[in-house]
This record gives sequence, structure tokens and C-alpha cells, in this order.
Amino acid sequence: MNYFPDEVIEHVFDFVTSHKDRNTISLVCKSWYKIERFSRQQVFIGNCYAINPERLLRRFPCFKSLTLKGKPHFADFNLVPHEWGGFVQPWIEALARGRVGLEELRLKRMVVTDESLELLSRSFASFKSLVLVSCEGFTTDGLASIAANCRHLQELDLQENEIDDHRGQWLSCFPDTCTTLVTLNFACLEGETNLVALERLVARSPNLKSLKLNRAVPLDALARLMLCAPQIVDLGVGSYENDPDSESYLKLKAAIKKCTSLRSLSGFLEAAPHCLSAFHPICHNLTSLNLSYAAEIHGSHLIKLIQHCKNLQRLWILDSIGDNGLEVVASTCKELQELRVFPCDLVGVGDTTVTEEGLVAISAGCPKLHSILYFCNQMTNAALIIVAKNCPNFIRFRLCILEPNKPDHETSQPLDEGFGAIVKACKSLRRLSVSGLLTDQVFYYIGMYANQLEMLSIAFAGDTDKGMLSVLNGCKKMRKLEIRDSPFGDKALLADVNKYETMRSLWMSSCEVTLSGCKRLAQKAPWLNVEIINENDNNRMEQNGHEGRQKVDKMYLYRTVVGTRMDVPPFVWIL
Amino acid sequence: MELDLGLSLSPQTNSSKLGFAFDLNNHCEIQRAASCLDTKKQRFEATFGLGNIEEDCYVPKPRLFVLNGQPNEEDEDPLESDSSTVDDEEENSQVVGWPPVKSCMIKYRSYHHRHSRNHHHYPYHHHGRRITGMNNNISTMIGSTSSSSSTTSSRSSMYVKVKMDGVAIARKVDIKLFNSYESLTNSLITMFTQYEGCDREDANYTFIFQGKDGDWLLPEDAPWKLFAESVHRISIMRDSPCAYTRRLFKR
Repeated sequence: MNYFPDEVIEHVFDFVTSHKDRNTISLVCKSWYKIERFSRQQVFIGNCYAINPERLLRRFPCFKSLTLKGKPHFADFNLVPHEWGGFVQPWIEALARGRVGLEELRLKRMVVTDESLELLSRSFASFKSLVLVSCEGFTTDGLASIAANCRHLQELDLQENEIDDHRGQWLSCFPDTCTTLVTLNFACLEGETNLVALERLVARSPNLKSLKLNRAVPLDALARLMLCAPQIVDLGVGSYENDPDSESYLKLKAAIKKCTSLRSLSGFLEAAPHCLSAFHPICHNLTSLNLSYAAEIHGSHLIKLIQHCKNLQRLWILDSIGDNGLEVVASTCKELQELRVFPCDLVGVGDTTVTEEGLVAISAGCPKLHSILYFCNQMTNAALIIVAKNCPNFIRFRLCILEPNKPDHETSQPLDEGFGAIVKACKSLRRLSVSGLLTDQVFYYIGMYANQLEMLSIAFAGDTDKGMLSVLNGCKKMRKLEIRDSPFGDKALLADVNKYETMRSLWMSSCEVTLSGCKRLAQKAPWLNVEIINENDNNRMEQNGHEGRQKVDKMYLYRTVVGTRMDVPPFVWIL
Repeated sequence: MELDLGLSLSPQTNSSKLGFAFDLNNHCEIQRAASCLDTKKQRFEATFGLGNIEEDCYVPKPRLFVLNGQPNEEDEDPLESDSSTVDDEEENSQVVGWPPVKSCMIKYRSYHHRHSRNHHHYPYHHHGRRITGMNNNISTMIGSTSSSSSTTSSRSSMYVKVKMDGVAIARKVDIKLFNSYESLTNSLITMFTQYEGCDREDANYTFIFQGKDGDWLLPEDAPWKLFAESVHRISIMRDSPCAYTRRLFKR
């Protein structure tokens, strides 16, 4: 029974935008469920195979924004074959058939084809925003359809996708009448860019706030673009090779000074570091700086740049900055909230890298730090204990020691105590990645203390099933668990089958899980899809006489309300 | 008559069977090996000559080595395969998907390394990675623009013959892919047991190495680096036959 008319309740619900909260609202009573479902504007689907488009439309007929995620996280590191799945085509077809007034589509790790993009561009007259993150399967021809047909396009944001660049004229496909662009990010495109078309487009887009260029946009073009768009807030510099005496460089310096709204800087895909000083005048305004692709900027130029960035909240950098560089960050960037330090040398034996000292310095100098991703060569328990004491507010803590199984380099002990200190101190920790030499003890700590933990990534860690059991039993809020190369097997997998209904997914690869264990799990839990991914030998698993005992190379399981998916490739076996 | 196959090892085999990766910096990974291999049946015994690095390692159990004399095998093998024809994929000594860096970033590094005009400013010896097409099995290859044999000597391949008791087909492995006796011996056992369909639990393995001067050596006799430069041949003894060798003896 409601004390207010439905319209009033709906209006109140309009202020609730978080999908978690809206899910909770819909559980209160039937009436609220009904009001909520007709008024939900933004739908978030964390696993595109947990539900299908038809059921989505039945429940939420009026939504305008859809977020879909496809492949599991480890697909980012080539652990999932490209043809595994995550196709967006059936979704777009269903939404088009259902005449949804789609305005925004956000996809992550999905397979998108040119055909899908074409269909998308033609089916939704009010379509405004396309955000593709880590997707693949399409070419610049697909982008051309979006440019040509979406009359009210505001946002085209391509982040780290694999796009086949046909070096076409997709940028010139934006009609002259298109003046609504707010975000244009094509940094991940590898090929040539039509600079004239780009400049014209930017010149007629007065609302453009975010512009991220690809490598093919040279410095002189950048200068002209910035002059056209002094209102820019977020800039991704393409190629930054220049001559400090050239006219282009002087123009750029002048243009930069006018960009007083600039808050976020990235790119520098090819850079002549000694010309970075052109950006110094606006550095104090920057809240976000991403130099993780700027391999040529290091040493004193990098430090000088950072010394000007006193208001940084987010910094993504390469480990060539070194511990010394991180100390500069620690003393300069007092507002820092998120830090990511990526490895410059992927083989892991570079001369300049970061160690536990850099991490400790950051933790000591940046009191607002809550998210960190840190690739390093070495770590100690003592350092982690200090970090935990300095920063009890971590929400995300991801540490990747490049060499698997590496112990504390001072004591040769496992890093259990260090990570234990982190989970004990950081009561709001939601995401954790562990590395280095770790025994079951670290998982005992995680199960005991990491009460808010939602996502855990484990690699080359643990001794026995007890480790995984500690996590499954202890972490009540676990949603995504991904494990590789760790000795967890059937006993841990089967201990509490109902746990998986409370989680989005579990990934286990190169562990001790056997085929018969997976089969038993699938039998006990029909609401799960238990997928065995076996790209090497399509038929070996079935033909081998010892199939029960055979270890499964990759297993991915997830809860679903729509059963086995129909688009399974031959190397995936759903039990 | 023996056949030689110039196969090197797939790291995927190693990481999935043994649950750990190649050790990159001469540090021991015994802890993981111990938990995976240490059952009553398998007493895989070898030492590793890591010199004074041993004290720094986390070593839960000591290892023993058993010497077993063996006469030299014949030197000529008619079907010797050329090491340089080994597939790109199999030269990879890195674990698939490790370190966990997004493929676009890896691709970018490789592009950058190939096209960088400031290459000489690079502070360290950088090996770009190349994604071999859309191949997911082995995602990277060490060495960017040139094949590994034409880069500095520390990176050139060095193939040695490996012969296991009772197995007709000898193998070749690239010693340069390994950093320790531990990783080498583990990988060899994995390779042989996988291909022969034997159970690795079934046998005790003993390793001996023949140097360039013809003498057979124990692993503890030489530090790894010295060994890696002078090893010519490896022989593996097994004291409990698997099904294949049982069939062989029955004939």
C-alpha cells in the first residue's frame, strides 16, 4: 500500500541512480517493483550471459542506457580465446526489434562487429553515447556508420579497443550538421587520421569537452585543435614529437595557455620529452594525468612535469619514474587518490624500476590515497605493514610483483603477513590482487578480515584447498573471484555450491580442478553455467579414458537465469 | 636409430602442470614445486648449483642428488633439426598472460620499440613484445625486430639434446630459456611425461649433464651460468618404467 500516488514515488525514485540501490528498492514490495521497473533509465548487466535481451526488455521496457560486460577479466591478458563469446549483435537486434529508445550503450570486453555498429546507428533516433572499452571485432567502417547516422551523437569514447583501422575517412562521415559532440576519443586507432576533417569537426563542436587523439595526429595539428577548442577539459595528446624552435611549438604554447579548463591530460604516445615544459603553465589545474603510454618521457623531464601538478588526484605512470620519482610524487601530490604504476619493461629485468620504497613513500605522503595498482620487482612484509598503517582507507589494492612466487626480498619469507596487514587495516577494501610468494595463511587473513571484498585476483599462490576455502567461507561480499596457477582443486570448488549464487563469476585456470569435479558441480548447481575452455585439444578431454581425473585447464563459471548459451564455440564445453 | 626433435617447451605446459612459472631471477621456487610434486611416490631428486644464492632462497626441504654413470652416446644424429627453424611460439620463456598487463599496452610497447627514434635514450635493455596474430596460446615473443639468435649473446638460443631412458625419441631444449637447474629439470620431466603419456609420479628421475669436453657432470658441480654455457647433452635416468618402456621390454 502506498501513501503517495505512483507518480510521486516514481519521482522520488528518479533521485536514486545507483543500480544497486534500485535493485534493493524493487525488492521492497510488488508495487515498488512495478513502479521501479517502468522508471529505470539505466540498466547495468555485469555478465551478458547471466540474462538475455528478451528478459531484459520484459522487465525494463523503458530504459535508455545499457551497460554490458562480456568476457571475464582475465581476457585482458590473453587467457580467453577471442572467439569465446560476448557478442553484442543479438542485444542490438533485440533492442531494435523492441523499439527501445536507446540513448547510451556502454560495452566492456565484448565482440562488436561493423554490422552491429551499422544496426545500432540506424535503429535508435535519439542515440547519443557509445562507450567501448576493451572491445574488438570491428573496423573504422563501423565507426563511419556511427558518425554518419547518429544525428545527435554526443559521445564516442573508444578505450583500448582492438580496431582494424582501414585508414578510411570515418571522421569525414560526421555530417556538417553534427555540432553536438562532447567526447571524442580515438586514441587506440593505429592508422592515419584525416586531419582536415578532424579540425573541421572540432571547430564546429562548441560543447567538446574531451578529445583524445591517436598517434597519427602530429604536434602542429594539436596546436590548431587546441586553438579551436580552448574549452577542453580532457585532452589526449597524440604524437608529441617536435622541435622546440619551431613555429608549431610556439603556437602550441600559446594555445595551451588559453586552455584554462583543462583538468585531465593523457597520451604522449610519441614524445620529445624536452618539450613538455609547454604544459607547465596549466599543470596546477590538472586533476588527472595518464602517462602510462608515454614511454619516452622519463627522468628529469617527468619529474619536472609532476612537480608542477600539485592538485593531481589521479596519476597513471610507468615504473621508469623510479622510487625517487615516486618520492617527488609523494611530496608534491597531496591530493592524490588513485595511483597506477605500470611496468615499462615487460620482461621484468629493467634497470630502472620501482620497489617497496616507492610504495612506502607514496603511502606516507598521500593521505587521500584509496586506489593503487603497483607493478614492482620486489616487496617486503615490513613495507606492506607500513603502507597499511599509513593508508587504512584503501578501496582497491592491487600489487603485482613481476616475478611469480617471489618472497620478501629481505627475509625470504612469504608475503602473507604484509597482505594480512593490508586486509586487516583497510576495512573498506573492495578489490584486491595479490602476488609474490604466498601460502594458505594469506587467504586465512583475507577470509578473516576482508569483509567488504568484492573482487579478488590470485596468481601463483597458496598451498592447499584450505586457502580457497578460507576465502569462499569468509568473504561474504565476494562477487568476482579469479584464480590462476594455484593449487586449489575440487575439494575447495565443491565445498559450498550455494556460494556461487551470491557471486557473479569464478575463474580458475591452471589449477588442480578436475573434469569430474566440474561435472559434479554442474549437477549440483543447475543455475550455474560451468564452462570448460580447452583451446588446445578440442576432443582430448572427451576421448581420454582418464577423463574424470584429468585436470581442467580453464574453468569459468557464472550464475545465470537463462541457462546454457547458444553461441558456444567448439572449444568451450558447458557442463 | 634415434630421432631428434627440435622442440622446445611450451610454458603453458609447465605452468599448468606445476602450478608455477619459470623463475626469472635465479630465485628458488621450491615452495610451489614441493607442494605439487612431493608425494611419497615421486621423489624427484636433484640439486641445483645456484652458488651463494641458495642462502637467500626460501627452501623448505633439502634436495638430494644420485650419481649414475653413463657411457657417452653416439655423437652423430642423422636427423638433427635446425634450431633456427623452431616456431616463434615455442621460443617464449614467459608465462602466458603474465605480467597482467593489457594486450593493447603490450602491443603499444612493441610498436614503440620498433619505431622509436629515441631508442638510444631508453634507460634499459628493452625487449619489445610482439603479439603473434590473434593467437591466444602464446601471446608474446621475446625479441622485437630481430630473431633471438641475432640479438646479444645473452639472448641467443642454445639447443642441447636431451635423452630420457627408455624413450626412443630424444629432444632438444633451448638452455637459454632457463635460469636454474630446478626449472630446467622440472620442465624436462614435464615434457617427457606429457609426450609419452607416462605418469610423472611413477619414477625417480636422475639427471646428468655432459659438458663440451665430454665429461659427465652432476648439477651441483657447476654454477648455473657456467653450466648453461658449456652443457652439450643431458641424460635422464628413470628407475621405474612407465607403460611405454614396459611395452618396449616385452618385445
